[in-house]
Amino acid sequence: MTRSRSFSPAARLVLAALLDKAGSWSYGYDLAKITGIKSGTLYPLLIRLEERGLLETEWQPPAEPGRPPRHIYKLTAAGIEVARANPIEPSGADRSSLREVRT
Amino acid sequence: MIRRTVRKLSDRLLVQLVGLAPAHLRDWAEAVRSEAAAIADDGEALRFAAGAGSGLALTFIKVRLNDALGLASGRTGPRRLAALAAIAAVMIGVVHLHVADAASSLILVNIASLGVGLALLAGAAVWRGLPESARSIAAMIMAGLLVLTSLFGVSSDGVVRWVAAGPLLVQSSLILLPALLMMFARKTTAAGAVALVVGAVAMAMQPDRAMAGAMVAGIAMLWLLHRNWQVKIALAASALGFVATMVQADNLPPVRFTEGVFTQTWQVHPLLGFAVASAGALLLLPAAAFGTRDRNCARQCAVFGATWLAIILAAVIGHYPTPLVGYGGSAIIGYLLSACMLPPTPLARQGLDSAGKPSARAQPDNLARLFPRRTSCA
Repeated sequence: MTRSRSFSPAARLVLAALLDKAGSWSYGYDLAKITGIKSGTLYPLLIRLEERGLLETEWQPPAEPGRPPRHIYKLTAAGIEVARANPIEPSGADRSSLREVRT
Repeated sequence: MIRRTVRKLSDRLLVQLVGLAPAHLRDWAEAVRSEAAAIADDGEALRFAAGAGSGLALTFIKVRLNDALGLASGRTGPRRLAALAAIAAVMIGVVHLHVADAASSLILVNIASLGVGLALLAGAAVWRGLPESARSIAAMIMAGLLVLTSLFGVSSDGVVRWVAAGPLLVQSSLILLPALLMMFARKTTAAGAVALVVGAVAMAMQPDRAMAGAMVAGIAMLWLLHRNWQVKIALAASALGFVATMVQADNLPPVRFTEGVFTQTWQVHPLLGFAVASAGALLLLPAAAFGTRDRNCARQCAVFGATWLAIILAAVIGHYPTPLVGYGGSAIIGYLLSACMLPPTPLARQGLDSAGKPSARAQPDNLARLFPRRTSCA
């Protein structure tokens, strides 16, 4: 798959964060923390990725009774391919923001 | 305690967000609600909910608007959108005229003009079916009418812009010039360039800074998207025409209910001012919605937008007619006549290019429907 110009830096960050999870599920709040993207940007972005067939979503049953189920996310096979083809830009603030959270 | 109360309040708002969500996106609103509930810190949960809630609310509104206007399904193309915008703007204008105690005859003229304009729009298919030679002749006739208006039209304080139609004065340039520009935007023929050169001369003679400026704006936009010698000549002529209008005196006093409407309505009531300003913005909706969404109709939509934006700006900064919202049938008919030259539906959705041939860039995917990608119009 070719490198696409249509992905914004924020989208690349989210793709990279999901790719780092290597097939396991992520929560929206965690993604916001890891990427440093505001929740107001993150959720429309996740919708967009799901619409494109790059993101798989599921409802996770509550861990304790009385708590609501949580919506969880991971990349589809196509999403993994796209994430690899569209890494975070080599320079710029987006890369550093992802690294900051990882340390 | 306060934070807990605010958190409960935010949860209530998120429940409302679930109600606002289109059916296929409802899970996302529920997702934010449950995610916020899982965050232990009240302040953090509140920030998260407020941010995600507002982001999703905007997305949901956008999707619902797209559905309501038929943009997502392809039911509404630029032409239909222009008709809807015109109807909404004229209706807001009617409210403005009523609130401002204008005579009911003024309101009737605007409504009748809307009827005439919509009838023209309904017959747009006939226009599009005409052979190129007939269109060239029509363009030359329109340009000739502009010159005739400048020579023999009704004069006021040395300015000659109107033609008497019974008890009404019609500003021919406001009706014909945007349509001429749109014809040229569709196909930049030599005849079209000549018609625009003649039109530029007519604007310089009247003199009419607003329409001369609109001409420059429309052709300059075309120059950005499609450069050839015809556009170059038209642009040079329109720029010279505009300069000629600027060096001539144009001191007509403002006409009540027609000019200065954008600024005066704010003084009557902020809500009215906002409604009138919104109506002005609505007129640009076809350009905003399709100017960058669909490469094949971008040219016509962008020229349409640039032309009417210039006319609106002229009405804001000078004593020139306020299109569609103020009293005046010429702008209403002119807007809808120029909208006749807009594509009826996005050509890419039909799998066609502007020449009617199969397009390489056909059906946009679901994502593009939801979040149209900004593409180059060039």
